[in-house]
Amino acid sequence: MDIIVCVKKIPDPEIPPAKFKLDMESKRVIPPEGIPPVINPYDEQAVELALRLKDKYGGKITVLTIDNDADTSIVKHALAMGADEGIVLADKAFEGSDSFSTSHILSQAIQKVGNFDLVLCGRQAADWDEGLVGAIIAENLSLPLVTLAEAVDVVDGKLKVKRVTLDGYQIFAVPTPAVATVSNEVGQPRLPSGWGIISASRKQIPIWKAGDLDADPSQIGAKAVRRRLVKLFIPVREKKCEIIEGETTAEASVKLAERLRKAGVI
Amino acid sequence: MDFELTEEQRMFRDMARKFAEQEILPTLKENERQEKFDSSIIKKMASQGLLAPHMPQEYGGLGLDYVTSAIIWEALCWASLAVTQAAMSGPIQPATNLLDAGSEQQKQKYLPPVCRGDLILSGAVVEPNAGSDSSMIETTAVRSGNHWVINGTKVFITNGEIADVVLFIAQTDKSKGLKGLASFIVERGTPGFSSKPQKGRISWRGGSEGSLRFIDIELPLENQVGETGRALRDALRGIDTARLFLAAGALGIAQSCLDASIKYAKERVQFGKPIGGHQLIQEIIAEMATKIEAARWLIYRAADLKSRGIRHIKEMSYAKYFATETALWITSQAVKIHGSFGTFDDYPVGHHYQDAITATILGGTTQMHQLTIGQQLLEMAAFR
Repeated sequence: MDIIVCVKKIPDPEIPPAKFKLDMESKRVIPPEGIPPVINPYDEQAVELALRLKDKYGGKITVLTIDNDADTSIVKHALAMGADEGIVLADKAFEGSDSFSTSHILSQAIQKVGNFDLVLCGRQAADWDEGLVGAIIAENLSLPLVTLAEAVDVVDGKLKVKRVTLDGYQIFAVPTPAVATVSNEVGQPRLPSGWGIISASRKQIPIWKAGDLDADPSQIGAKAVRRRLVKLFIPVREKKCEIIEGETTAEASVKLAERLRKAGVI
Repeated sequence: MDFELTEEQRMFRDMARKFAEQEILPTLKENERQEKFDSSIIKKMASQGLLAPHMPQEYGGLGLDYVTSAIIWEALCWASLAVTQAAMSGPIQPATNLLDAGSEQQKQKYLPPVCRGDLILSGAVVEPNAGSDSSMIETTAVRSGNHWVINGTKVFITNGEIADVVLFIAQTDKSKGLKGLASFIVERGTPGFSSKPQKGRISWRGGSEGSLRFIDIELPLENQVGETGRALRDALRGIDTARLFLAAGALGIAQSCLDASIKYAKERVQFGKPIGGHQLIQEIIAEMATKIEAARWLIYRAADLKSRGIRHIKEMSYAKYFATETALWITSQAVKIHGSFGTFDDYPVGHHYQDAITATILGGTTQMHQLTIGQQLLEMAAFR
């Protein structure tokens, strides 16, 4: 089974709050000094799901990312985990893209890669949490889409996709090729192996520019943005400590429950 | 001169650190309380490609240079030096020794399974009366027809209790002193071979040590490794590798203690502000960080010379002596910064504090390394 996985580089979600800073004027996140960006953890889980399918059915995994600095680090991370090929899409024309233009760029790249049975994306990127790219790629390529996939298998020539819901799961039979966004229920992604790191770090990663993709210039970059960011800010959270008294633990528990209900927490 | 890590080195560092967080830290506290080494970590490291980073690929290692291998050690020991040393000691000291002095048949037989984690190899030099002074080795090897007869005792042997194979040094002719020493391989199950754990340690409680007893063991002649009279020199090559990685491991525990101390000093409020805002705490943190940087570059320098096959006796002693003594100082300061909390094993600083003292002893004591440096600089020996 040949799989394409779309991955994104984001600021490390584990950075301490004190290091997270915004430029309110330009409405951008200021990259934290000394803390390198990482592969979006949800995308890393999409790579993991692709590797499980490769372990079972064989095939080839190609990893795509858009990075205007032509940074290959997260593609190499996925290769070190076990993916076969990686491509970085880098062009000044891509700068300022939103989910729609990003999806257009990725859709064009997916078509250029060609033969594939499945496209996987993380359920959302852990920086902006929009969760749109996978769905728009499916729309662009007129492919069936299953969101929040926890597991994928192959039954009778079709994909059997287990989709996570709030109170359980759904099973879909999906013809190939298809697109799925991957839920975090997939679990912990494998670590890159020593042999994978050696191979990945010495691999030449192709860089594709806008001209390589047959992309529609009106659909990419800042000029194609369809949503307007009005304000970007860090919410101020106030902490208050209130001691709930009670003669007995049971009495204090009841009072605590009443207080929490009054506060709208439960 | 480039002081930046390569992309490959960064990837190995990050992977090894995550491995340590996922596979070593979760069980460390309970294992240390029970003074238990969980040997399943050996297979896990092997399947991750971490068990034998410096060994040639033809024998199952990754074939990495010593700087990258030291970086991996630092990252793993960030969680525990004792566990890392117990897991990797086979591929480090005795396997390096075998690689240098063993016959091709011996290398093919033992090295690949050791690097795969299928076979636990221990190196045995130390005896009750022979520590830094190997001329005191009392284990005897007596030639009798077409075999050797071995008698003696070895102590403080990493994985001694669980080793499948032991590479040890014995005296073939007391009158020849160091020139009478020879190396041999003995496999568990050989009649006359026995082992037992050495428990009750106050340090290295997550590691694994045992003593070995050899009673009239008969070994075929082909079980000798290298030539008689060169055993100590051969062993020192493996010990040289162990010294590098012990230094890197000490750096790992020192870095862990600095990380924990910075975090704690920002969170712990006393006298109306975080303790990190007090000048005396800042002085300790500054000294910790500076010493760690100094140790790191001494280690990388020695590792680089070793990788390039350049003589590095003095530089390795600088690294081992300074890094382990620095770790001993830093771990104690980290416990002090944490106050009474630091004396419990819920914080990382406590178990690093316990392990740091052993790091100054294994692979040559601090005093031996000082004597080595002195000898190199003064061109005269203070010992035989």
